[in-house]
Amino acid sequence: MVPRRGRSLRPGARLAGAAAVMAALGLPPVPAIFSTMEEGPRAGGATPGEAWLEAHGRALGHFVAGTWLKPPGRGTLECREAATGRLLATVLQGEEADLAAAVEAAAAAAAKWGRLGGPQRAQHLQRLAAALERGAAGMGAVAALSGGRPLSQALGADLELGLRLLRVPAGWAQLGPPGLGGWAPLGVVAILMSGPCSLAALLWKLGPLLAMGNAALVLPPAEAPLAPLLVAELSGEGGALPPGLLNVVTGTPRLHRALCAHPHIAAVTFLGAHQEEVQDVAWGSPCRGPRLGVARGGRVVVVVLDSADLDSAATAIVESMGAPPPLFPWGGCVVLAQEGVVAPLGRRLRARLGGLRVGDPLDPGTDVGPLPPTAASPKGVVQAACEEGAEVFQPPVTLPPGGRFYPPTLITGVAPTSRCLREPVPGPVLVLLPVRSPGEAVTVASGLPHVAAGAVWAQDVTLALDVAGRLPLGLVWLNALNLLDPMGGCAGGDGDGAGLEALREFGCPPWEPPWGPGNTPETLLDKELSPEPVPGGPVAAPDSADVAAAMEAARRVALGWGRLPGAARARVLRGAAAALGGGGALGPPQRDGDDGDDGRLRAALLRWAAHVELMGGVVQEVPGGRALVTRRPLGVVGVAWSGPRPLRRALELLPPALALGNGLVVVAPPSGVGSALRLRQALVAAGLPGGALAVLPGGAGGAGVSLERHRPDGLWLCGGGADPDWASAVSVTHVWVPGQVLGGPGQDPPPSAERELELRCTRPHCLWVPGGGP
Amino acid sequence: ELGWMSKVHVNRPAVVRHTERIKKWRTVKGHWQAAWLLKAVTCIDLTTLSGDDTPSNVHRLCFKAKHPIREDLLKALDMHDKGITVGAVCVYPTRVIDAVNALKAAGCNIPVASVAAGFPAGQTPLETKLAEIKLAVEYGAREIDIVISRSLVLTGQWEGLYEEIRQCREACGEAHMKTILATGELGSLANVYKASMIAMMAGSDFIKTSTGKEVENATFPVGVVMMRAIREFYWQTGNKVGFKPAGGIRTAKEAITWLMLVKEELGVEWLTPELFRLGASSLLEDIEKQIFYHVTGSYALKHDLAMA
Repeated sequence: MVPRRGRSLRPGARLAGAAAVMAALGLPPVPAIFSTMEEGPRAGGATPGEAWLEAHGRALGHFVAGTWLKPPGRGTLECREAATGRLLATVLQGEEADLAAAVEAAAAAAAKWGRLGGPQRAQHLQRLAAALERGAAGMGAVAALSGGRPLSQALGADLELGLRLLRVPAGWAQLGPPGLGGWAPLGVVAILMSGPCSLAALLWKLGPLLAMGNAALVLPPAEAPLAPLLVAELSGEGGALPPGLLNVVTGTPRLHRALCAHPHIAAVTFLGAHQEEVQDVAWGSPCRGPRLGVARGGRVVVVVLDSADLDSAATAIVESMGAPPPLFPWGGCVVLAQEGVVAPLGRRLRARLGGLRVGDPLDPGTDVGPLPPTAASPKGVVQAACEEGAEVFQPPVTLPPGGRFYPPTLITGVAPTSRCLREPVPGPVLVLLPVRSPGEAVTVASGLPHVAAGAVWAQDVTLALDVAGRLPLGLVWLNALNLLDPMGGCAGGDGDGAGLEALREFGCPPWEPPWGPGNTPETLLDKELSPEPVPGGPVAAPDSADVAAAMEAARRVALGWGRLPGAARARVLRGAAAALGGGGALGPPQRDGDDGDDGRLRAALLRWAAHVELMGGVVQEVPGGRALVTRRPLGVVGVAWSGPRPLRRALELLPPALALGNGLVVVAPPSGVGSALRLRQALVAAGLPGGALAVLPGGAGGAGVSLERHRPDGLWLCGGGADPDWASAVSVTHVWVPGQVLGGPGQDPPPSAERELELRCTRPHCLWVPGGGP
Repeated sequence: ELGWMSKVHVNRPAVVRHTERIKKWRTVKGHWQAAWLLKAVTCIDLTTLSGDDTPSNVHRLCFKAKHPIREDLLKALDMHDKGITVGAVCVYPTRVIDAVNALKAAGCNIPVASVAAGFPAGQTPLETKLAEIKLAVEYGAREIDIVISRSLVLTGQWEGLYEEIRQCREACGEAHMKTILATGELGSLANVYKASMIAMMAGSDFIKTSTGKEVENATFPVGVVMMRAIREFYWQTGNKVGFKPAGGIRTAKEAITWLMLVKEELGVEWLTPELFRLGASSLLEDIEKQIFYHVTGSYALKHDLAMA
């Protein structure tokens, strides 16, 4: 065909010029690419982020009350690009006055926001999600620039999850969350970010926090403050959030300590913090106790059994090590493979590692970016493995110059004693361990520290479900990795992440008096509880050896007790109730309900027997499949029924804890030992394993501390003056001060209390089963 | 030798997630895109498999095969002297002679591929299949695309399948043999993997996804599973077997994704016409349009590009 209008001449002329330009720039010509089949760079990813920074002159302030706050005379902190170390911008080194201003703004906003109805709050949250979606390119660029997160993650899975994390709480606010009737906002909640925690982690807390009617004060990590600042700015766009609801104050950890002094802060939630840091900040704080967010060390354990699709498993594992799941800080990945498939899996992993593209996180084709500024280098740990004689495989990839890049690494031939398995390993590092059987995989996985989530790869569905069910983890994927959704559990670890439970963290239950300045939990308890006379003067704390022995015995039987079918546990409780009733099942009915503490205790036994008989979970539809969300027993719960003002009805807390499959070690005050022992006797006679409930006399303040030392899985502080216990109890994940959950003396428990008790006695277990969608 | 069969496991959702990710995030732009598209061109088996094929449209197809991209466009990309032609011309056995003659007239050495062995359904007796293959080779086809009997896969007669393909291989003689698995009719991805392995063990030079006549044609997850089988076979035996997705591939973007998946699963060394082919009829037109746009900065009209 003859081209008309001379069009055939144009391309040649244009391209001759273009080819010359390409050559001058040193870019490869088409024939060269044709032979190498390289993919080439894709530029432009940084533009929206750079534009935002430029618009602020690369000097950012705090974001307070819906506007930028730049008090004069503050020092500055430098934010550097993760990939190159180039200076991106400076932020202010906040001081106490800045914090005070932010708290004041937040308190003012919280008062109005808390009075707003749920549907209105939901609209605001939806607008916030929409604003973030519009600003996604900027957020992704900032995450890649300052955090080194590859753009394909930041704009892909991270963004999707982040928006869900806002929209799901918005949905609950719209409907009025079931079971949370009468719950009040807390007020101003501080979110303290430190270490390697991501933007998604912030949104994970922010959504429920705002949905429940609180205002937030965010203290981002000193190394990576830009993303939270951008979110705060976006939150003001188009009236998404009223000013003052989301405040960000930048600074060093020194500033965190100043939080304690603020009477307006109702709660502090920690993201990615070291235990010591939490202790440091929480000590002496008048606020409602530390609420742990994401713990440090979000390792993922992958169990690969011999019926696994090895190719897909290797692909998923390698993909996830380049960009770990957004809610877990970098903790590395441990693969436990059955001996028959170790070799073929290892070969596939090595092949895939070689295909990873390490480089500029702003290129959408990059798989592995630089280490985030908040994460340490894995160099030392890998070195230690080398010295132990481990085989360390690193594919021959060229690392970009500058920046903190680390090559993808596979470590084999180590034992669970190695540092690379004892410590969380940041960076793209994979450890492959052989196991002899599925059972051994469970044992080894249970013995690893810092595990946030697990995955089981096996096409044999029975075996896969079996192993997944026995892993002591809150989040397990079947034949998948890194799928997260707020409705299917996304916290990992022991955190309560599934659905509604996230909202409870930020609400004040109706049985607790609203919190305000000068109204600390301690004084409230003092006011409301009748003083408990302590006969015979002060009582000594329980003997440590006794606690140790009781704890040991409880641990031995708790697992078996928890695995019994609900109906079997119900039978024990009903038997005990009958025995306590004196006349058994045919006892005098006319005294039921109004015979004081005993009658209540019996009622509680019967009610919880019924609960556990009916107990089940939910099947949650999630993108790509279903998640089975159930609750598991905590394990051994220490109950410190003690302190200057022991909770009178603490005994009624025991039936739910036992019914839901826990072992208990109770330290009881002198006045309660008798009745506690009587309950124990009745339960044991009805078939409770003897060790599952231990009652120790004690009752002085500090019983919580002595229980905590033995590391129970949960710790309940049933008494006034529990604050010192609080601060020391951060090594136990599930600490609870029941307060007035059962109602005042002589009252029936409030309606939502039973759900609260159920949640406090259990931890979530989310099992993702991809496939089978409609 | 079939002990490995029980160890074949394929998890479909995981494979689908992987392909979606590659599709979404792995793209090439600018000059790189042009180079990749030209690579795709060299891997195309330019195909016409219709009841109304005659010498004239086969003739036209062969000349397009020789000149897949307008000469001045190639010149602009500095690729005019690199011998850019399609990988092969693919026709029914009865049109092989026409194609061979046309290509001879065009003065080029592009191989002619012929479908055979009861294409597309494969529901013909083995004797007929073998005879058809031999005739096609006799007519001058240098590549034979055979179809397998799906019934042998679906009923688990793996030895029978091996034997059938092996005999076809013998009948092909010197000609390259591509084995069409018709993956849309195999029932499961695990079956696709097993059939791929059997086809390679029986001596196929290429394994090919579909005939283009099934309801479900070349899908990316199926391709990934076949490529994983190819890599496993390579690891086990050291033999590199080629891969040919075919059927329903129409756009330049899909072609790039296929190349990307091959690079991801098998590596760059598979990105040559010797080890990778794209079976397509209308794909070339879209690629040429994209290259036209890349070079000139404007969109091609019908008359700007020669038809096949």
